[in-house]
Amino acid sequence: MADPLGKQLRDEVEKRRDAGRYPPGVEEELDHLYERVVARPASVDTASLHRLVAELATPFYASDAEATSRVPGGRLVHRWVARLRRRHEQQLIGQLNDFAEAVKNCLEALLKSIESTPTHDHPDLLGQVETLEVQVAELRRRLNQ
Amino acid sequence: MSSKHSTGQTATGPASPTARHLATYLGGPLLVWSGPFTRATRPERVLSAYHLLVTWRDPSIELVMHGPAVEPDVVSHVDRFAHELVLTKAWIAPNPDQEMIDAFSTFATLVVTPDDLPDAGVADLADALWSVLRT
Repeated sequence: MADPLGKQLRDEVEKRRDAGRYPPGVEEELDHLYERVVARPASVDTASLHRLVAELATPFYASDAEATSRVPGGRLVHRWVARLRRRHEQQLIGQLNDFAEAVKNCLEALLKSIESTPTHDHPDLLGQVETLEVQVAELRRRLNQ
Repeated sequence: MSSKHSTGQTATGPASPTARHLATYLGGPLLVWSGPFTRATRPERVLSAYHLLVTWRDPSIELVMHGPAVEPDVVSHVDRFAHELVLTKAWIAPNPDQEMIDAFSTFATLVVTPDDLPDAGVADLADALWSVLRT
């Protein structure tokens, strides 16, 4: 490679390999930490999932078509058809609402399960731990200087 | 393409938001990694090497890692890794716009790409970067 910086870095690596300037095992620790980070499941935003599930509570309903008509007698026909249609639609809407309710119950059970697993977060405690971590890291860095 | 600037801050007056941010808050040498976020480019090695640099060499060194988020999960892993290591001066910037790229280059003390970095352990890599950063 013609890149002078790349060559300089490779030369330095050669010179400093096995110099043992850092605590023993630090490279392995970093590798393991990254492996743990990669293996960890992403945190789930359950608040937005709850909002989506709540939307399933909006029931299906039959909307009445306009009964007006310019055709003579059309209004009467519309009203009869609407009455006939509503009778059949009510059954279908009832089934759809039952299905939505079942899906909602299922999703709520899944959410409850997700929230009760050990991966759930405690933002207040995490905040305190993070503050302490920052302070410890800064102290370590000052001591190592 | 990699490069090393003696002092990034001597560039022309900051005009962009990123340049203004760096001009205000940059407090030490700026190491910039520029490359696509993929498993193959192994950005986590740079972060590990940077951890060694700020923990055992010079806590004022700052890091920017930018480039296309070709594998978005790698970006999120790298971001979480930086968080776990409490690298408060590491800026993970996937998919930066041109204004950000220009500002990073302007203020960089050292710019490295994945091709510049030898296949070495992170301690050796950190030492190599340190030797270039301090010259």
